[in-house]
Amino acid sequence: MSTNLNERLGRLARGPRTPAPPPEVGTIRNSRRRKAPPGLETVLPGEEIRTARGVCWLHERPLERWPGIEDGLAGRLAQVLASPAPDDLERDCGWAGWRSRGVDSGLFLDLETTGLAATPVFLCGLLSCSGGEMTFRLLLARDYSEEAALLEAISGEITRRPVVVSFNGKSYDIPFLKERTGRLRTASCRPDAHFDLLHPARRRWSDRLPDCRLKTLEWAILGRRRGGDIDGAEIPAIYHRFVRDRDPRPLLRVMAHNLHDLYTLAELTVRTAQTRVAPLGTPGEKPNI
Amino acid sequence: MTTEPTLPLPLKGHDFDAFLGRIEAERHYAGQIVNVTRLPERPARHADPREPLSVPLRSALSARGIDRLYAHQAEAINLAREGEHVVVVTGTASGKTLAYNLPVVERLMAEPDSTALYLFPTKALAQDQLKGLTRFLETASAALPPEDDLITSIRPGVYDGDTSQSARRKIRDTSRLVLSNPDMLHRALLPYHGRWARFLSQLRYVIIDEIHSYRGIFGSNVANVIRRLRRVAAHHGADPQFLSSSATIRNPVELAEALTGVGTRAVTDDGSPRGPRWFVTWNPPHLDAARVERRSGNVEAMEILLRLVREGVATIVFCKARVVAELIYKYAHDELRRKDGALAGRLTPYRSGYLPGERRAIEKRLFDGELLGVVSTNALELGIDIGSLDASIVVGFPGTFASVWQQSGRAGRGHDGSLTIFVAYDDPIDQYLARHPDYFLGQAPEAAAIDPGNPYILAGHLACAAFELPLGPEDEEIFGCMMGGVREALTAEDRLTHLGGLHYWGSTDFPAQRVNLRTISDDTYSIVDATNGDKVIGMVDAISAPELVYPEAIYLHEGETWFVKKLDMDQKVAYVEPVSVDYYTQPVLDTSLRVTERRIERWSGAERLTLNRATVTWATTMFKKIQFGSTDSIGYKNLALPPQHLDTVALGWSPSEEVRNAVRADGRKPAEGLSGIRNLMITVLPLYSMCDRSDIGGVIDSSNFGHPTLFLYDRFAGGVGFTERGYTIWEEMVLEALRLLEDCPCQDGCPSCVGLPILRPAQHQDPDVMNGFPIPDKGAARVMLRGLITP
Repeated sequence: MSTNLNERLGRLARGPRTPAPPPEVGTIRNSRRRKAPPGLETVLPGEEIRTARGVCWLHERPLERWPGIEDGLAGRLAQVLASPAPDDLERDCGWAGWRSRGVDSGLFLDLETTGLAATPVFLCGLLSCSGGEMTFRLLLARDYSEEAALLEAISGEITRRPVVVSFNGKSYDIPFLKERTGRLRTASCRPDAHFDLLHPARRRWSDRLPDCRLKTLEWAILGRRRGGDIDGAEIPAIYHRFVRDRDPRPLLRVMAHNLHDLYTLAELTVRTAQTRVAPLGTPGEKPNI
Repeated sequence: MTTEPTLPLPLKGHDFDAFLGRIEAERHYAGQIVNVTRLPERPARHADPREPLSVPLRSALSARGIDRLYAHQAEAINLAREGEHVVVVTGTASGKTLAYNLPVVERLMAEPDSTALYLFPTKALAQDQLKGLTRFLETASAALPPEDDLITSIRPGVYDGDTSQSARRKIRDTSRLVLSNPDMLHRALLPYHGRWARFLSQLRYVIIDEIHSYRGIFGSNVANVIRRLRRVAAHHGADPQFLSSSATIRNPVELAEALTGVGTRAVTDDGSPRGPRWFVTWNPPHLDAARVERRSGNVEAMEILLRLVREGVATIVFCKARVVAELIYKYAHDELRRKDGALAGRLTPYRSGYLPGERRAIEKRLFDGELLGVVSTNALELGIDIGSLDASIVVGFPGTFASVWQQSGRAGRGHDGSLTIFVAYDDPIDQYLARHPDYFLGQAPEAAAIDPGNPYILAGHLACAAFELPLGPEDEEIFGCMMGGVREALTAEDRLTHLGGLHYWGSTDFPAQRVNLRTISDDTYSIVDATNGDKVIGMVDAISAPELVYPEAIYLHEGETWFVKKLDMDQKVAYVEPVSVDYYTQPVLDTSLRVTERRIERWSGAERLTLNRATVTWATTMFKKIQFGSTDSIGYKNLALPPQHLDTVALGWSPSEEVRNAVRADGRKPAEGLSGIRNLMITVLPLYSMCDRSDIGGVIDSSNFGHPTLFLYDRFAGGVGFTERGYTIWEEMVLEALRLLEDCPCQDGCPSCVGLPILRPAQHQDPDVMNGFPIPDKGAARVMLRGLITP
C-alpha cells in the first residue's frame, strides 16, 4: 500500500466508525487547466451500437485501406478453403466447419484485455470477408461500464459468423470470454466451430524458430516487420489512462496493433493451408531468417 | 473427524494414575503436581431429527456403526432444514462434521443442480474431510440404483493450491461440493467468479469449519472474504445458508455472525461420549526454601517429556515462543544423546520459520509414528493431521483457554484415555492457574474479537471486491459503515474509478495478490548460512526479525546454535554461521507511545478513559546473554538498530487525583500502583479479547496527557479490536484485576500478581527469563483498585 493510501486509512482508523460524507461533486483534481482532448470520433470514427446490455463503440474500416496491407486477401482465403488442405487441416474440425459454412462465416478474432485473466475485456478486433472484401471491425468499451455491452456485441458477431479463427484462442480468447460472460451474466460467446492457428503453425515451424509467437511468425514466415508497434504489456495501462483522462489518441496505436495481428493471422492462415507438415527429419519450408 | 462409538475403549496400556504415582513416589519429587483432575468418560445422549433421514443416509450411518444421532447432530439438522444459519459448538471429536454433512448431502440429493462450499483453515483438514465425505457418499450410494450414484452426481473435490490445473477445471465445471480454504476463495475463486457461475448460482450451503481459528486479524480478513462471497453469490442469484462449527469458544454466535454477517443459531448441547482424560497442573518448585523464584518451567517440562518418552508415551509439548520450543528440544535432545541415544532421533522440534520442506518431513514422520516426541509452538495446535498422541504438555498459559483445550485435545483424539500436563511458569497468570485448578478447569474459553471494519483490512478487500464486481451503494449493507470512507480513499489514490454511481477497479494490479489473510504483512527475512553459500536455513517475519536475528544474536534452529554475523535490513537477510556456545540471547526493547488523536472518551467513575490513535516506536536496544539450563544472565551488549513504528489504537486510563491521594495517604506511591495495574491489565485483557498477552502492549506515560496515564494498545497496525473491547468492559476488568490481586497469597506483590515483569512482551522472549524486573508495590495497586470500585 502506498504511503498516501495508508495515511488516508490511518485517518479513517482514528475517526469514529460512522459513514463517510458523500463525495464532493465536481471537484477538479488538477487545478491547471488543460486543453480538452479530442473526441473519440476523431481518432476512431464510428458509431455507438446498442445491445441488450447498453451501448459500446464500433469502429469499422475496409482492411485494404490500411498502409502495408496487400490486396486480394479475401480471394486467397476463399481459394485455400476450397482447395484440398494438408492432412492436419483436413482433420481439424474447426477448418472443416469453416469450409462447410463458407469463407464468409469466418470471424478472425483478437481480444485486448486489461490483464492476463479475469480482468475486463475492453476491445475486440474482428476481421471478416463479405463478397470478396475484407472488413476490420473494432468493438470498444469506452469505459468499464460498457464491457457488458461489448460482450453482447461480440456474442452477436459470433452468432452472425459462427466460425472463429484465432491464434491461441482456444486457450486464451474464448476461455477469457467465458469467464467474463459468466461474470457479467451476458449472452455466451461460443462459436459453432473454432479454427485455432497456433497448433498447425507449431507443427510446421516451431522446430526452426526461437518461439512460435505471432510476431515471430510474421517476421520469419511472412517476412514482414512492423515499425513502431506497441508493446502488448503497455496496453492495459493505456486503457486505464483513457478511462480516466478520456484522451483517445493513444488508442490509435492499440487499434493498429490489433489490426496488424488480425491481418497477420489471416495471411498466416493462407500460408498454413499451403504448407504441408514436413515429416520428421526432412527439411520443411525454409523460414525467412 | 470421526464419531466416537458409545462404548469406552480400554486405555492403550497407558495407566496415567500409575504414571503419576511413580513420579510422586520419587525421592527428588518436590510437590510439583498441584492438581490432578480425572475427567470421567461421559455417556452418549441421542435424538432423532424431526423428519427422519432418507434411507441412503441412514444406511450410510449404519455402515459406520451409527444407529442414532447425538442430540446436537439432530438439532443441527432440524435447524438447517428450517433454513437457519447454524453454528455447532461441541467438543473435539463430537461428530460436528456429520452435523453439517447430513443436511448438505440431503439437499444436494434433493436438488440435482445445487452446490455446497466447504471452507477449512488448512489444506490438510480439507484433504481429511474429502476422504471422509467420499466414504460417506459411497456407502450412501449402496442403497441407491447405480444411475443415482452420489459420487457421480456430487463429485466432491478439493480446490486448493495443490490442485492441478486440469483438476481445477473439472471441479469448476462439474463439482457440486467443493472443499477449499479462505485463502483460496480469496485468491483463486472470487477473482475469477465468472468461471464459477454454475457453482455459485446454485450455492445452497457454505460450511465454515473450525471458526474459532478465525480470530484477530485472520478472522477480520476471513470475515471480509465471506462478505465478498455473499456479494458475488447474490450477483449469480444465490443466497447460501452458513453452517459453521467451532471448538471451544465463549461467543460462538457473535463470532459466527461477525464472520458471516448473517443472524445465526447456536447448537451447544453436546451429546457425544468421551474417553477418560487426566488433566494435571504442574508447578515448578521454589529454587530453595528461602527464595520466591521457582525453577525453570522449560527444564521441568523437558523432564516430564523425557519421562513420558522413555515410557513409550507419544507426547507433544506446546511452547509459547519459538525460542522455547528450541530450548526444550535442545535440553531434551542433549540429555537423551548422553543417556539414551536410540531415543534422541525420535524427538523433534517444530515451529514456524522452518522451511516448508522441513516441516512437511516432520509432519510425515509424526503421522507415521516414527517420532515419540515433538516440541512445538502453537503451529501444531490444529489442522495438520499428525495422528494420535497420548499426552500433551502445555508449557505456560498460551494466552487463551481455547488454546489450552485445543492443545490438550491433541492428545487422545479418538477413543483412548489421554493425559495433559500444564506446566506453570513463574508468572502471574500461570501461578494463578496453579493456585486455582477449579477456576482453570471451569473457565469458559474466551470471546473472539474480530474487526472486519478495520480500515487497513477493509481497504484490501474493497479493492478485491471492486475487481470482482463494481461497488455500488447497496454494498454498504454488506461491508458496513466504514465502506464509504475507505472507498473514497481508494478512489482518491486512483485504485478505483467512479463512473455512473459505481466504483470500478481501475488498475493493472491484481488486488487479491496484495492481501494476505494470515498476517497484516507477509514480509519475511531470510536467515542464511554465510558459511555455506548463503543457503537459506529459516525465515522470520519482518516485524519481529530485529528481535530474533539482531547482530550477534544466537539464533536457535533445530536445537543448533547459530551466530548472527550481520542483519541486512534493506535486503531482509540475516547472515548466520554455526557456532558452539553455552548461551542464547534475549532482546531488550525500548518502547515509547505517542497519542496522535483521541477518538472517544468516557468516565469510568471518577477516572477518564480514552480510546486513542497512537504511534508506538520501538527498537531492540540491547541483548542479554543467557546461559543454557541455568538461565543465568552472563552479559549484555548495546545495539544501534533503527526503530520501528506501529500506528495503532490505544486505550488510555488516567487515575483521578482522589485515587492517587488515597494511595499517598496509605504511605505508598501512586506510580507503583499504576505499574501494578498495568501488569494486571495486560494479564486480564487477553482473557476477554481472545488474544495473547503479546498482542497487547502497555506503557505508563505522563507526557501525552500531562498526568500519569496507563496505555494499553493493540500490537497491530490499525488496531484489531483488542483494546477497543477493553474500553467497553473496563469496569469488569478492574474487578477481575482486583480479584487476581487479592487471591494471591503473597505479602508485598510477587511475579504472580502485580509483578508481570515485562513492559512490552517480545515475540521471541523466553518466559523463563522474564522475572528479573522489580515488582511494583502490591499495596498501592490494591488501594488504587479498591478506590475504583468502592463508591
